[in-house]
Amino acid sequence: MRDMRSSELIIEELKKQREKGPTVNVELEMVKIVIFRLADSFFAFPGGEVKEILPFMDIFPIPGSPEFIPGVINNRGDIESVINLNGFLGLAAGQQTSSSRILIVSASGMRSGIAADEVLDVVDVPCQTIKPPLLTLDNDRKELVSGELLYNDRTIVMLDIALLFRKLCTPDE
Amino acid sequence: MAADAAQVEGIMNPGQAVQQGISFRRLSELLGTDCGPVPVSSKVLLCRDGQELVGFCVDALEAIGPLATEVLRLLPELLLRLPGARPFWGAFTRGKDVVLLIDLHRLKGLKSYKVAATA
Repeated sequence: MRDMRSSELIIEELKKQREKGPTVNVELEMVKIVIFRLADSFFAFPGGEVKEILPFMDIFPIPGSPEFIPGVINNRGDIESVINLNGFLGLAAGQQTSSSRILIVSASGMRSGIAADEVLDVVDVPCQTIKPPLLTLDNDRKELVSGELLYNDRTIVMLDIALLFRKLCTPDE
Repeated sequence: MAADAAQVEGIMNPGQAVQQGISFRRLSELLGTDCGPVPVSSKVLLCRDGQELVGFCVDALEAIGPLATEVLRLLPELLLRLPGARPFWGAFTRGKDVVLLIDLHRLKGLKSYKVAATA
């Protein structure tokens, strides 16, 4: 008796769905991003370009390197450069705390660590939530920005790693 | 940091270098790093520049010894591509530390070296 009722309910539901017409299965295209903080601003890299997230560790300075390269790290026997983006993006200097991290990123055949004051999240977001960058951004920042999105009521600025590497390796004119 | 022994023609105390009329510069000064007073442990590495010997004074000589080439690493690509002359070409790890490999001949390409030479 109970089975009969169940099957009747299912048939009834199917009838209702047929009356509503065909449903469209909308699958949003998602992208994984790594959200991090530099000073009081929030940024993100595409997740596919972030290879590792390391705890902050000793940085060995390389004499003669520009200010935005504090040095190299010993990542389990691999030597990785580290970039400090704060000054490069016109932000206040970050402070090293227990939340500080080094993101190992890779793009255009280059790889480097990026010092971050904090990594907030690694999350999948719909591609359509990433909007073009605001025109009001200053020039230093704008040319490295691939988009912006709102996440937990915060504006997150998406950075283009390949453009960043290219800019770092281009002599100032 | 470390240098290829093949680039070093000799090692002596700063006093000996002065007595023999060999001009030398402090390496830390050439590299633009903080350098306090010359420590008593300092040594002068002699490097041939054409017919002449030039010296680079280091704060201390830690070791002279062979190193397996497999442990040597080129500097990360980003550092190699940065504009401007730099005397470092590679590094190796020793425990948790990173030891930079310096090419003593490249020091002549530094602005600080040229300024000293013309001064």
